[in-house]
Amino acid sequence: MSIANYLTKEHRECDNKFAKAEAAAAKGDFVETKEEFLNFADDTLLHFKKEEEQFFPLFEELTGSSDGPTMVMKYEHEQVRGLMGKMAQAIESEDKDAYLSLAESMMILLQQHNMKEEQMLYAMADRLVDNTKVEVLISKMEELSL
Amino acid sequence: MFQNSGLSLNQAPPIMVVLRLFLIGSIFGLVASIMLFFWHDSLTDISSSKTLALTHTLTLGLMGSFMLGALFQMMPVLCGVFIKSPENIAIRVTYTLAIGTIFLVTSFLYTNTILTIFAMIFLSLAIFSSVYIISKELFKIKHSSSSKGMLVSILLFALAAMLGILMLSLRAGFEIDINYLNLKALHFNIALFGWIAMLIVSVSFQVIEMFYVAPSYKKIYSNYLPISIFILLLLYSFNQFIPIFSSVINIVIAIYMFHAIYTLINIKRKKRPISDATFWFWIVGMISLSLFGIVYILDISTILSATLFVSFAISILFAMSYKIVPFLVWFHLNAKGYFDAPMMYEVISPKYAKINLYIFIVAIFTLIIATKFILLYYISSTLLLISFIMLYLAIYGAISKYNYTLINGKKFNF
Ligand SMILES: [Fe+2]
Ligand SMILES: [Fe+2]
Repeated sequence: MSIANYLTKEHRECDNKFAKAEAAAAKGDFVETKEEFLNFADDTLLHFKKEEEQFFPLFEELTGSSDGPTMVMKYEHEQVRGLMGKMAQAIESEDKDAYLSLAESMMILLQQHNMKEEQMLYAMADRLVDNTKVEVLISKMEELSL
Repeated sequence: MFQNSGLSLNQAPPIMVVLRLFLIGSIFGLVASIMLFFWHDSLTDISSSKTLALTHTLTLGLMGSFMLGALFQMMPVLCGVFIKSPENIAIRVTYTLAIGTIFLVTSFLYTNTILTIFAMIFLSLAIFSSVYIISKELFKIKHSSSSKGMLVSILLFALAAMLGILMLSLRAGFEIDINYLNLKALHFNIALFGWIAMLIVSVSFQVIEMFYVAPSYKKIYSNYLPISIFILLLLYSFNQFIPIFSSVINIVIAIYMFHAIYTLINIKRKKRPISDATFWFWIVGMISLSLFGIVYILDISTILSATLFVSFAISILFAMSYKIVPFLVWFHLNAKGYFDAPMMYEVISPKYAKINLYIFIVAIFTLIIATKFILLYYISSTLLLISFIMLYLAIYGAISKYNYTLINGKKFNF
């Protein structure tokens, strides 16, 4: 398996969970929204952790810079985390409009972030890293938990 | 490698770069609707000066502004390409394009050599400088299907513009030994199918999946589509020497028809539950594109196929604007640390966008019937005018809210 395959698959899984939470919110079922949203948030935060603790350091080693793309990616992770907080608030106050509006921003923010990772960072890492190292990286990422 | 791609914290272009182009574009949309109201009876003659004035208000003034705005906005996201000092470049491009379009349109209406020459100068400056800036960056990167499509469309935009300028120089009195009718057909086909449709297709490769969490297009399809269209259109351009090549344009249109149907299937399988106005604008756009293909290939009616193409292009323009504009306002304020940044729904309410959608659909519907019942043009052009006024007000309102928060908002200091 390549780095791109592994991490891109996680992006798609997060998208699916996000869509489930949104569907529940659109129905006005905030119990279900909360459950699905937590699924989404957990998966996304774990994915961020894998990137920040394992993938980005490797990438920085490869490119020899830590204030380049990975810094932008970490900054965008922060934006996503902030937005998650606001979405959780909207769920607590059962504010459907606020939730759906925040969801819209979240989706675009997250998608453009993922796109940059998939098309640049992951693709580049796969070109530069040999197979055995990829295996090691993926198994290390698999060991992580929130 | 990343030094070139210029991925940086402030890689998003300044918000006004995009919004200014959108705002001016919507004014041209408004003007085009007024032209349609008064001049619809001249449209049956596709070479009449009024038809030319209207089509160029639509393609250059309206579509040109919006498409350049979208390119400036999407390039950093889609290709990691950052255009250096976009503010200056964009201001120059925005105004020279608008002024050039005004000169061009007036030169059609009042055949006048000086106006024609001014149009040539301003449009060359606007188009070739933006093509240069954008394609220079696009040549450097490792390509996705989307960025390939953008490169193809921007190069063909330059080609269409060159052909247009060649025709203008004939009008201005320069003597060039060339077949005018052939040149015109080439200009027209490259502009519509090489630039406008191609750019919309490359945008759809990314945003259908991204905005609606829909299945992605098959890689083999999206990877080879841009280059296939490029080659086919190049073959087509030799049709003066090899007559059989003139039918190649039908293949190009069949491909676009296929794309429209493929997109409809994909977007209907979206995972997100909400079908907002932008979703329906995509649907209307893609249905229009497929109908256009049928009408064009079966050669049913020129005015009808033109109407359907316009409906396709404008629908997508609305779809993109109602998504991008509120997002940009929220995004830029949020990134600047304003914690009371208006949410997307507060920038433009979904209800407002839906109302605009309904009015637009009726406008398009009546516009299609008007090709048979001329009197309906008064209704359809009025509805189209209202659609563009609504779009203008939405963008204007978004800019005001942005500026209001900049001045009055509460801010974190990083
Ligand atoms: Fe990430
Ligand atoms: Fe990621």
